[in-house]
Amino acid sequence: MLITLHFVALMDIRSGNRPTAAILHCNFSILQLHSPLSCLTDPIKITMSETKQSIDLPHLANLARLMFDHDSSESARADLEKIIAMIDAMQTVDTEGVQPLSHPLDGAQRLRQDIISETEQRENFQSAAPATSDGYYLVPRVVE
Amino acid sequence: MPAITTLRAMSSALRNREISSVELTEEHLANIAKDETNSFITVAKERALEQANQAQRRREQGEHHPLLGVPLAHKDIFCTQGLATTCGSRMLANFIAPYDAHVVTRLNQAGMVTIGKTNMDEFAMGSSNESSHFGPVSNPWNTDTVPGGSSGGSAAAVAAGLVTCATGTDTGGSIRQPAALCGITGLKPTYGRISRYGMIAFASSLDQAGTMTCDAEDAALMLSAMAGFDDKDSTSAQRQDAWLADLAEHGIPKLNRSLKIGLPKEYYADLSNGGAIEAVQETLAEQGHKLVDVSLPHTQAAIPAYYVIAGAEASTNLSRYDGVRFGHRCENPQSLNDLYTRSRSEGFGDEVKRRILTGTYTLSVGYFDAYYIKAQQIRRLIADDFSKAFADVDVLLTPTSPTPAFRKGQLSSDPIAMYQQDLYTVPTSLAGLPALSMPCGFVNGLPIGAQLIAPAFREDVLLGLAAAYQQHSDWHLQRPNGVRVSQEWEA
Repeated sequence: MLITLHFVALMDIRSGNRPTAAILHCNFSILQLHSPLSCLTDPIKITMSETKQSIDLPHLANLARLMFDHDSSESARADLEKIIAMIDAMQTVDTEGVQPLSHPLDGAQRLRQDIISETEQRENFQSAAPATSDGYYLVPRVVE
Repeated sequence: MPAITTLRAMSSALRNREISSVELTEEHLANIAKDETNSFITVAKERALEQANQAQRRREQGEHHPLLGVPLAHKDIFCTQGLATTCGSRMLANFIAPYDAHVVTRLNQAGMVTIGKTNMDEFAMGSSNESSHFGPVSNPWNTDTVPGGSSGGSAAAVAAGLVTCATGTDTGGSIRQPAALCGITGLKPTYGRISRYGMIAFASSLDQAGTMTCDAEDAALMLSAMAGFDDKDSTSAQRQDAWLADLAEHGIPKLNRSLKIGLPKEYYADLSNGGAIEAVQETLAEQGHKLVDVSLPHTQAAIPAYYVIAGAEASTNLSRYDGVRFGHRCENPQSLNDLYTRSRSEGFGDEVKRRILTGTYTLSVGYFDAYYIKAQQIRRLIADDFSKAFADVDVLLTPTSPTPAFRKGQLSSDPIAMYQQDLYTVPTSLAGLPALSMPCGFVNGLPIGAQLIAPAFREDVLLGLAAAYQQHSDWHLQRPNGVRVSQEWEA
């Protein structure tokens, strides 16, 4: 069965504007997987939007502290657009009222006693650092 | 080419003094020197010989742990004190770990000899081992094809007979898929079964260490030493499983009952592997197990949900690489921002950058609910699918991967096609369940694997069923060029 389509306004989110309740144009084709899954009978199908989205790569790259030259920037953008389109297919799954699962076995974070359990190993850990002085890590001047 | 044996055969030869640990280590080093698969990033010659000497002394003092003196290879994602730990990345090409991973400590305590560190996809992100900074690994069955990934070096090293056992890690299939593509047995235990301490983080809610061996009995030996609670990993499971405590001494507990084995129909849509999987079903039915069809209806949503969750966690985890405390640092940074940006851009390869950007995108302001929360909701639906199935069956049987090994370069320019390699392995990872891939046949001369999936912490069922299957099949004993794995030591 095809389940209810449940589109969030991805186009608006992606362009950085406030999300609205708009329904996107979408193509109801089954996600093209590279193994022929189209012969499945009644599992939940996910569908992929073919709407091309423009991704603000310089902004994302800056957030991730990465940089791309002109050529690599174009291929990074194209790849990311394909990945986002693939991911967007999950928007068609009805998750109304489902609690998000963050720990795979639904476990809770174990807390330890607030007692000292580590010894000081500055020298050992700084042995892997590219630039140190007197026990400090060196970085370019921040405050003139 | 010397005979390839099981870990158990090697262990009994050491116990019976048919060979010493030092001689065995020297043999391994000589074989690895002739390796043409590029399975190793680092060979730890001096350290290995020193460990072998120590193991020999321990044996002379009366110790007899089955792993004492047996050489193994660690995936280069595990921190090894004093030894390069690169994670397959230029970022960590010069990183010497200042401490041992918990897994490394445990296997050192058992007396295993670290022969070297194996090649892998950069930061474990990949399904072909082609994203390694240290070059691709060749599948020993056909050197034009990939060994799978991300634990491709470990899988190829075992398949080529360079080691009998290796560690691996599995975030979305990185033990099981290369095990299948190289014709060996790969076990991904339950999330939390083995400590993640000192295992370089990719996606912390999914990462799990495991074993890559010839067969299930060897996997059990490795598991017995690797598993256990560790207070340095906040998600480490506190369990008292009697069968686990008995593994090293008594082996895998016998399955003295008929199991109900579920065949999830969503995993059988691609029938290119169908014949071999059907033969596994027949063998298991002949052994008295009952096979039934089941459905895991949200299977198709697993890949997008996985790539959101794994990307988000990766972008967060990899923010620690900043050129300041460890790892690659760019030349002459002009400002703090320049230091961060150039160090990261030079240190990371294309696939890692793709995953970081994906995670940055899905976690950024305004997108979080639509992507990350949505993916976590789907994660629960997938976990619930498994719970419902396990209300009725003991274990699930599926193919491990959609295809046998593919040619190098075939998928490397198409990230989406590469991601689909994980189709049958990511749902289990999202649900944190244990799964095992075992060799079950060949397609066009290349090995393929069958995957068994069990409820959480029931690795005993996986190992028991796989061991019973392997007593009635010999796919796991077949190696490239007509070589067979010997289950006895031949001097």
